[in-house]
Amino acid sequence: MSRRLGSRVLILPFKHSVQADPKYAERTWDSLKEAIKEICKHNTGVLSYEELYRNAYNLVLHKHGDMLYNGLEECLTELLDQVVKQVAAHAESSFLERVKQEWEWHKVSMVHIRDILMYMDRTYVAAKRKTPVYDLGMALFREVFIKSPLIYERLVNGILGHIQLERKGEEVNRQLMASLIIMLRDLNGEQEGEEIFCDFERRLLKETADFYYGEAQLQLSICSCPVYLKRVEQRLVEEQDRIQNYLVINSPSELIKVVQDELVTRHMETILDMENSGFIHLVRNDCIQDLATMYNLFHQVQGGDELLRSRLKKEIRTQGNIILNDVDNRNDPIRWVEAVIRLRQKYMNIVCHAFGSRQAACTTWSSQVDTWSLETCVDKKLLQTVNDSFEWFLNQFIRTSEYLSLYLDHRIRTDFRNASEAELESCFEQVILLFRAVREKDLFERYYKQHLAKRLLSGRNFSEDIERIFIEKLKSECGYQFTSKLEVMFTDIRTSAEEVEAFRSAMEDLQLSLNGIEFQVNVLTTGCWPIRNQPSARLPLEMQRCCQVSGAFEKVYFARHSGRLLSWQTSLGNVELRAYFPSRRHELMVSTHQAIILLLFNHNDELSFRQIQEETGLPQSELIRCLKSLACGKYRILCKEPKGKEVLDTDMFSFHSKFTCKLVRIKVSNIMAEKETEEEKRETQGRVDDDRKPQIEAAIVRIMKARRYLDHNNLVSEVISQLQTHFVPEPAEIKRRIESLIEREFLERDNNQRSYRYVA
Amino acid sequence: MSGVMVSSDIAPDDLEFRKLLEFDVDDFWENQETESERSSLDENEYDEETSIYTYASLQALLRKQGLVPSDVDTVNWTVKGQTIFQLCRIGDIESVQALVQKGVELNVRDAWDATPLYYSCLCGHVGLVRYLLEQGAVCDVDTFDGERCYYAALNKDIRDTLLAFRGQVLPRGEDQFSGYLRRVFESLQQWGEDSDADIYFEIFGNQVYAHRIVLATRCPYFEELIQKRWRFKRRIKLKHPLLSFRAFYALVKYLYTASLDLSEEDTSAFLALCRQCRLEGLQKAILRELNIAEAKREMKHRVLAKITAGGGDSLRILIYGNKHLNSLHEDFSKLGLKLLDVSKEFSEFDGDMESCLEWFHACPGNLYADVILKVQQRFLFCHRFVLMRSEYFKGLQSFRKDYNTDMSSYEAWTLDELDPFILSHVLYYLYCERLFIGNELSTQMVVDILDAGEMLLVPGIKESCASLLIQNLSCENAVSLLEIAETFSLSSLRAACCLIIAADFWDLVRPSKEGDEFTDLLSRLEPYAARSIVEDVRESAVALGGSEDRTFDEREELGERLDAVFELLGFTDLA
Repeated sequence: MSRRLGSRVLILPFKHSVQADPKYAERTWDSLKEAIKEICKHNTGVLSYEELYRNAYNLVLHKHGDMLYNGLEECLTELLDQVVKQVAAHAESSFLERVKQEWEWHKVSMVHIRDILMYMDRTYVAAKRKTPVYDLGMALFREVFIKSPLIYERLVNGILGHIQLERKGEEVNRQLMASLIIMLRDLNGEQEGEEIFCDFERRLLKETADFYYGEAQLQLSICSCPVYLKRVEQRLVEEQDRIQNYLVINSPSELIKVVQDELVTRHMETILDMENSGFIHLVRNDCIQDLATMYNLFHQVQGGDELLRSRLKKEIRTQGNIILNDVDNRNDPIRWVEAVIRLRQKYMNIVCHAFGSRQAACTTWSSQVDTWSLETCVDKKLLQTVNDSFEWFLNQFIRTSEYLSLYLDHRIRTDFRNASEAELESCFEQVILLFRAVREKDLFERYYKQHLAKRLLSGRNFSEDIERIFIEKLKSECGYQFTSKLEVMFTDIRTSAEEVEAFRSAMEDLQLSLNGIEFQVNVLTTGCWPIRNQPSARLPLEMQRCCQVSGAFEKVYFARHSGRLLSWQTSLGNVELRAYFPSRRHELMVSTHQAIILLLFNHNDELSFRQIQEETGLPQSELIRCLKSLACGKYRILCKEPKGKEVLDTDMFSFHSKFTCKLVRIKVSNIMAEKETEEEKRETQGRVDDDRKPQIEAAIVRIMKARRYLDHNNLVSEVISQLQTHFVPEPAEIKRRIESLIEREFLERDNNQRSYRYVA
Repeated sequence: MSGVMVSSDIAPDDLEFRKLLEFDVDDFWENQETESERSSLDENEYDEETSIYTYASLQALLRKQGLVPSDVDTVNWTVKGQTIFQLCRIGDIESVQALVQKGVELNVRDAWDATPLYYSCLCGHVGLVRYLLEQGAVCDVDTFDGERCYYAALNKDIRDTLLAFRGQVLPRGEDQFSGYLRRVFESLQQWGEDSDADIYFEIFGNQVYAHRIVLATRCPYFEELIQKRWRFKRRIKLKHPLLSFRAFYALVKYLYTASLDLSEEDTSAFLALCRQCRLEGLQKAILRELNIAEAKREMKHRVLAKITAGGGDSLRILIYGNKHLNSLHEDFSKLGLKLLDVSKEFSEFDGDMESCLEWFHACPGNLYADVILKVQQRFLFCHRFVLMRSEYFKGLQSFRKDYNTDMSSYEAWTLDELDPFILSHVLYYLYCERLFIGNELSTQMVVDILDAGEMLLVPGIKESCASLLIQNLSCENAVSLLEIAETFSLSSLRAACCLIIAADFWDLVRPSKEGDEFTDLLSRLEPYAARSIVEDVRESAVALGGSEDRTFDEREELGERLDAVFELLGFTDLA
């Protein structure tokens, strides 16, 4: 029959016994059905895979696929119906366990059934686009078994009940829970009515919300704020643990969110405002740990950050106002600035240590949590809030700049010897931080310059290194322009020393003596020093000799530098006097003006205020200050009649012959107006304003030169933004400057009133 | 014929079975090549008077209708005389598909060093670009070729397509068989001790798992070692200082998959390994790739110095392609033949499993088989990892696992209802993806192989058998093969049968009360199937009408006869 390939063969048509026996299909199916039942009873051992497979193959090959597929569906449904009845009869205690068992068995059975019906899966199912055998088995398990009214409610309630039990602190069989939840997830269908797992999740979320609603009510009524926060944190950890271990749901974040909503979001105000343990309490008592917990919880929920920030802002403003309104503070710059610095450090400490993703930093850097790693993870917005609040209340107070400068002056003069550089550095750092918040930076500059000038010229208590440290900080804060004049002041002092040296050598060369006078001159650049030009005092005879020397100095100086003008500022000079008191000899270190006054008493025993004024030619305010320091200061070299703290122009002065002191060298400090008098303040303000005018004008011209044409509002806002680093100009002032520039024909008004044009 | 349809009622006699097994392996490949010549020789001898269509003219007819693709020249890789480069330029996607099905190498270069992908990008054939990429054409980022394709692309569609495939590691130069072996290899490494690996190498703390049989089959040097030094050892510790783990891993992977992906730094170690293992062909291929890569790198430095300035310039050597795949198939078909050879010796045991196993253990050339198939008192030796290509055996294994806890290294599976001769053919196909076309194969056997292969879910065997059947189609067997085609839903065979019937309807379609073969067949089929066959025959006749050897009258005649068939079958609603 069979012949060689290549020589064509007549193949007999297939005449199968299958065809001959019309009952063949039914009989085969029956045997397969029996086998499927055996498989579901876990009796695979007695079956022959080869035979079953072949039977299924034959059925499909002979187009009995429909019969096989539908039969399988029917058979499985029937079997599962029986299982439902068996399982439903179980008592509550073993019910869940049994469901899980059935599920495991069903999976194994379906694998075997799929294997023997594999040919159907490959051909019939693929061609007819039906559900593959295994998936069909799963779908039937869901539809027939799980969704059966006898099972579904009991199953879901059972799982939810176990979860509630665990939340209440009882032990449950986590493994069982995990496999049941995974079962529900695997069985979830995509069509409507098949989404059993989504349904389960919905119910889970609702149960969770209900549970934590009650929990929050209970705990809030009995706990203080920190305790409550700890409980919440604990709850969240527990839920996370549950999710990781068995609550394998699609949206774990939603579950956590429900818990957070119920425990935190709903009660944020209540938690913050708790009597004696709320936010204010924690901040005032520096409870870093509790604040960190609070931040972590609030940070994760919506609106929590904003609320925390607004509370912090309010608290800082309150504290700031307390400092501002304290009368003692208002009158004592040192105390005031120190209080502000302390306040700021307190809040920075809180923000850095409590309000940041601290856990992350601690775990990654563990041992070496340095400032850098803390800085990087601090909540930037909260930091901003602190800075803004400070800026707000520092600018509330008009004398902030002055006080800062005074504080600085005080620290430098008193501490530079006994404080280490690092301490001063940190002090500077704090001052700079406050300075950053101050809007009128040029005002500060002016004060600082005055104080610096005094320190430089007094020649005592002066360390260039320390001053330089601060100036470097200022420079990095405001740019080199801001400090250029300050640097000139340093250079002046240095070059003066050189000048004096040159002068000395010149004198030696000329064989001229200095008449035994130690001569020291500081040459100051005009405009860089905060000096008011005062008329020179009339010098007494004793001092004329010095003038000869100074004349010589002028000659030497002009020989070295041509085209310069020197004018003498006697108000800034110092003199050392040797005075013979009845008790002993003293060396008095006094200012030039004081020396002039004292020298008058060489010839007179008693002089009236008017007489002194006439003799010396000093302005009244300066005279009063000098006399005050001589007659009312620590060392009273002069007697005043009548006695009293204040010097009046009717007073009489005489030499204090009974003066005694242990020290030989006495420094008579000139009573400085540590705090400015009202008049001086106005004057300073006036001069600052005068200084500002050209700056504003320069800015306007710069902008207009670049833009050529600009409307009023834009111009004003650009000017403000340009000058912001130095001060905040008033819009009215800007307007006045514009008017003045128009008058001087730098600008012209456009036809449109609100715009300007630059006139080259 | 009777019984269940797979086993033919005339069991091939023992002699035939023996002949198959004694078949000289070396002659096998020559035989295959001369196959077409032989059929043409047969043609001349054949003389048929009853039909106006000779076998030759029928086959020519089929070829003309595109049922036997003859335009594809697999020697020069051309279709209708056009190379793949030309096809890509004109965008002839069908011809390219035909070439790809025959296994053309896609990452080839022409005289201008351009690839087919480059041409199809340049000329804007989006569909073709996508097809080429899906088939594994390479467009790597950061390579000269990749950037050339991207910049030359005609429009944004193509650029998007290229980008979509960027970074996707496609199995290159892989066919179904080597793809399967790659997965086997990967799962071996993944499961390690738990896999069915029977040998593993330990190189500086890293392990490579493998099957003895694969190593022995693919590399004669390993075969020698396995037979002698490594015979009783499962764990082989290699600690030669020149050896590198990555190179050795790549070598074993190459033995499994016939493709190689080597980074430049491993090349020297790998070459040393090749020399040691006496794999001269592979060694040569790598050296050639290295030269090309070196030249290309030089050019890239010149042309694209700017672009590549930042990027890493590490070189990778990729070896794959038909030459290597062929050697893989060759090796495995040799293995298949050897197995059948070994199995033959066991046929004497006549169903006595015990003594067979005893003998098997003692046999030095047992080829490390781990599964014994018992078929009608005969034993066939196989390898589990090859059998697992078939879903049937997978299911069988998992089914047995449940009650067969005894996991000995050998498993005996009984497949009593199959014919051992047919089964051995199916297994051979499983081993090398080819049909054993010896001179002893009859059409009936092919049908039986088709049936058994289909039942055992052997991937691809259906199509191979169908194309073999089409080549042997004639007037005599057309109707019966049409039934086969219907049963197994073989559309190509069905179309070919319909064509033959339409061409030679004088003898085949003779509606009468006594019934002819064709009408009988139709009456056995479901009504809708029967009707669609008649329609197809009618359509084939129309298609034939285009050729000049068809007269109008003949077409009329066929139409009348088919109408008559309808009447006989009782389809009244169709005129």
